[in-house]
Amino acid sequence: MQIKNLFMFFVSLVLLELTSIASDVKDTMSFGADTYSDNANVQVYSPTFSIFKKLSNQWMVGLKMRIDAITAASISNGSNGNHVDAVTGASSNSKLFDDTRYAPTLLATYDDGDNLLSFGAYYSKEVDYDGKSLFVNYVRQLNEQNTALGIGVSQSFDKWSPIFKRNLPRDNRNEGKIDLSINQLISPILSVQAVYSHMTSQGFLSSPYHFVLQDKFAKFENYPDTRTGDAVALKGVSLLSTRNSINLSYRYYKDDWGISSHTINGEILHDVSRNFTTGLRLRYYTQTKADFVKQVGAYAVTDKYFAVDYRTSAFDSYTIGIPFIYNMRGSSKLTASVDYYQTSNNAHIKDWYGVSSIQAVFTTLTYSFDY
Amino acid sequence: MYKLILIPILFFLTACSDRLVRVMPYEKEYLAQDKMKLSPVDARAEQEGHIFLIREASAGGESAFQGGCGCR
Amino acid sequence: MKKILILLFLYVNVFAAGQVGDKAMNFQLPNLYHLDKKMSFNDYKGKVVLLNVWASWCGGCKEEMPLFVKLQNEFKGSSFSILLSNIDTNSQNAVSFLKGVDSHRTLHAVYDGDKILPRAYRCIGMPSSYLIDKNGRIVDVFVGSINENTLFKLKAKIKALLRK
Repeated sequence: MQIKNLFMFFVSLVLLELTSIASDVKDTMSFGADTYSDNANVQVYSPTFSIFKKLSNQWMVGLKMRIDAITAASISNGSNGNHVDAVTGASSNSKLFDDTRYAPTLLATYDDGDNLLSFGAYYSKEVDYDGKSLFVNYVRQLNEQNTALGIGVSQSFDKWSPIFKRNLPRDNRNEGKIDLSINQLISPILSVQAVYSHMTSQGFLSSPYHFVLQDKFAKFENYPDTRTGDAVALKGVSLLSTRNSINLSYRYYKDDWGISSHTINGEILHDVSRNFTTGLRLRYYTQTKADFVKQVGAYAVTDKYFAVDYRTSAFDSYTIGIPFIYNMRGSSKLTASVDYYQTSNNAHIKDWYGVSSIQAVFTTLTYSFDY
Repeated sequence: MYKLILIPILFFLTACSDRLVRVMPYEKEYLAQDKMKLSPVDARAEQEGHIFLIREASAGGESAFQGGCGCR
Repeated sequence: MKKILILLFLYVNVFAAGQVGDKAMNFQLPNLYHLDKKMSFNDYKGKVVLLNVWASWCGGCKEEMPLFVKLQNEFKGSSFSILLSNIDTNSQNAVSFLKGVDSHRTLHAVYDGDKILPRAYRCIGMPSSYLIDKNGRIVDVFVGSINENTLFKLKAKIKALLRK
């Protein structure tokens, strides 16, 4: 009884904390158009939309919608664009796009200035894949909003339904993730952040369309049905002068498939005028191969696992891009970005796509405003 | 025993350490600017989170949620 | 045990926020619109003052400004004054913003580029507003932007202070 009374007393004190200061949440809307195009004949056009509505001083609800209109040789052929299709039927060349993915996200947010709680659900529907996820994030501000401790949890319950008749050993793909973050202001011109993520996946983790084709046999890709990974990231942003800033981040990732990676991202931003900011970003990524991956053509029919997807092999990638931020009248904002992405030469890419490396350009354009 | 657990939790929720209070609210002029955000273009962060997830084998290190897809 | 918890919460929550009951600080700061002219808080002796510490980079500060213009107009001709104290690094940013919401310069405004007032009052949030009575005593402190709900209570307090 004493413990129960003490617990209720504690909860009431915490609730006092929860309503201490009103936050400045606002009603906002945004419209965007993203594109992606690469030399593996994949083009994606993505209109985006979001609307956030204030319910009270602290509560807000929001809806985000993303539509990916995809043209991809791998979809239209049912297998890779380079190999003769021996498995599926004819492609549907009459359609404008090979696949359209609809991805709405519904979320609610509580923000009183010291506590930020957001939770929601995500759903995506495409011709051969259904994605369903739930997520919750909590950030607590401490030390007069100099320190922010965050925890985020998400769990997805996805399902494959391949466009051709193939009995998958299992059709589910479930992924759970937990993120822990700490953000600390060091000075009026420097802030740093550290993030730790733990991810677990289970189910059908390869692609139902990829297959190994060697002289004497053909086998669909087969990966382990579980995967566990951890990532640690350190980030910082600093003012260099009144018009210039730099942000740097480093991430290390490792999983139980034997893949480990390093990611370094750097960006310099410059205020061209009071309202217009642009800059330059560079990103470098390098990963090792999964333990079960063999060289192209080196599999034996008795192998347990088969992988042709280059993402399980060792490769590097480089990204260079330019961001644009234009603050308009009132609270309206126009942002845009254009980035060029390239992987290193890779035998698995050559084998599957017929090109030595993946080269891509992706852009974003978004207009947001308070209403 | 519960006192030993409750007091650290209280400190977690409400504690202030002078050494960690390095920037007062009225000193946050530069930190409020777009160029001082860790991710200055939200739409790009969301899009490339998706792109890097399907083009590379790594994930994590971001505090934002990314939904899954069957992208090839 | 309960006493320990109450003391703990009071300690961490009250250590610097709000100086209700304190005498308002006297200051001399330049007029925001005419930086060569000084304004003194002594000029507001015998008046009820709402001193607002704000910046053009602060979203909440910009949001409440139209309410302040409306509030000052409602008390036109009375002994109530709103006094804005801007802390932008560049005062022109503040002037540009005020041009859009207070083109008639209804609100008095000073420029505090050295952040003397927020340091003296140890402001724990932006914006911060201090309601000061005719005797120069702080009677209420508002941390964060004032909205329609708080405005209702604020008007009642101003009327009560004007009657004294």
